Amino acid sequence: MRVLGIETSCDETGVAVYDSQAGLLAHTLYSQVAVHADYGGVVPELASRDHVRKLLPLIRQTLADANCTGEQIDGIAYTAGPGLVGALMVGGAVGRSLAYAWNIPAIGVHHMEGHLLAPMLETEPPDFPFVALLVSGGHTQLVAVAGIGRYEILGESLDDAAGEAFDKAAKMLDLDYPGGPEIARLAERGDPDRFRFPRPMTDRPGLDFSFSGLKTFTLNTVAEHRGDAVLPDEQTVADIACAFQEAVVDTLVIKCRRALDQTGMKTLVIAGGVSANRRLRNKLEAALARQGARVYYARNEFCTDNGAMIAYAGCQRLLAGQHDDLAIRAIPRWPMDTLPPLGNPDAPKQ
Amino acid sequence: MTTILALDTSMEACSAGLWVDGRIFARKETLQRGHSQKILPMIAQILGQAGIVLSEVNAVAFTSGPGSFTGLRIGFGVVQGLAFGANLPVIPVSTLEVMALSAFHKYNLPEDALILPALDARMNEVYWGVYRAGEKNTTVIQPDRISTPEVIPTLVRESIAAGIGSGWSYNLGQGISANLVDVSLEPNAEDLLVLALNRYQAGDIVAVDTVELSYLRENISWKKRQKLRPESPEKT
Repeated sequence: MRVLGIETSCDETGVAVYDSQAGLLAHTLYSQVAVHADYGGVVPELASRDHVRKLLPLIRQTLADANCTGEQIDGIAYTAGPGLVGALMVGGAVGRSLAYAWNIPAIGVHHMEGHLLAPMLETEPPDFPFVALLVSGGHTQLVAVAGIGRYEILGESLDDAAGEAFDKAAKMLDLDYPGGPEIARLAERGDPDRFRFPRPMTDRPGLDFSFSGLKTFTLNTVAEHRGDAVLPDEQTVADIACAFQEAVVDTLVIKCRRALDQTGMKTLVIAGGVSANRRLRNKLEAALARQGARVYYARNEFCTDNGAMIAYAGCQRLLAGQHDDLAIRAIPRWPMDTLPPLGNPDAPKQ
Repeated sequence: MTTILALDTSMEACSAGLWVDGRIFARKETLQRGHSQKILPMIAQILGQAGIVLSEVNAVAFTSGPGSFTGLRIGFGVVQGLAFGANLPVIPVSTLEVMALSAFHKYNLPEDALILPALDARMNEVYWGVYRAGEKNTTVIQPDRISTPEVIPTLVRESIAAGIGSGWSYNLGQGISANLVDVSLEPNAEDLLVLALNRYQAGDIVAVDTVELSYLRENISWKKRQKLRPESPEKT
């Protein structure tokens, strides 16, 4: 089965063609980062307007890159949520009606399921069951994954998502948007011993997160060290970036280890934009190796939003016979544990 | 055989219409929200009723603005999918122009009646234009624009046969003489079909890739971020 995947849930327009036999045939991405950088964050109306302009040309290009025509596409998968409702609506309207025009099934895909399954596009994919850490600008969740659509939320952020915390801390340090990669870059020059930020909610049991206190801590540290200037000196900014990143990474590592212990699983999947963070990957790999567990993640370009993960996730569900009616689906808030399971839960793994 | 498909989701009304050589098939519902769930089923119903498949359609017409931003994008998104998928040309039509023709029909106005459709754009602004409407066609007298309500009487001196649309709730009648006012009139796909057919016959069709929505409100007033330092530290 050959599936066209469409992602427009936030500020990236992503399109891909995935074939269940041949694998990923093509994928393209248009990032709106430059559109939103001046505003220090995503402006929903501008995001929606840009998706409308970019999506159709991107679909044409992706089909051409995949060297295939519309007749060779067997299904369309589009991100139905969660995300910005206006942005979701663009991909949904185009995706659903294109499937109608081509007389093929369509399916609305859960964006975080897409992220969660993105490592399946790699040459060495993880086996079920596993624990997934979904960590992006909108989500920080630990999920026990028994199979596709069989998700149990083990813990999640009670306030800001980890990626959101990165962005906000970056703003306090006057770094460009998006802040995650900027902080990571600056942290490499920082002195890890100069500041120690708290590791929130690690001193008590449970798998929930809270990152808003870390934001306040960052703000206070900046205020203490800037003197009469608008910002502390460059080295201090780098030291703060380093301390902030260490605190977020350590917190995530501690909770991941705890989730593996609690479930008795030996496989961890990290997905979402923050899973591209090198420090997080390195520390998780080291920590998990000590407990005989292994961590999987997607290549960098599939950690952030993309069409390939949507095409893959949609393909799995379409192969299982699931598909939508003619309604265009756009679900801004959509708990992942309400998704239908795929096939017979007792059947052997695919 | 000429077959035109038309759809409108620009406002609360959600409608689809199909012209097949003089026969009209249409569906219309008024919805606060949920256009995205209704529009494709409506299209499938009228195509089914007419016994037409999408590839037999000659062109797809739609209201390209002004209107609800999300509503316009739902309509255009559907048009993009259908037009690209079935390789069809499209006919974008002004929402206000369709409303002018709807008013002409609804109130049996005299041929060449001057109609001023206006939509509430919020933030004390309206989208508006002036059209001359007749049985089969409309002519633009004042092109669609966005302005404060106060600007309209300074640009419109003529007596208006009908003032229509939510913009008239700004009490535009104080500065403009209008024979009748209908604040609740909305566009519909049947009147859109009439205008679309004219365009189609005049060869006034375009490729879907060349179409831009006319939001009219282009300067979205979000505050740009102020950097603390003119040059950020990591770039020095």
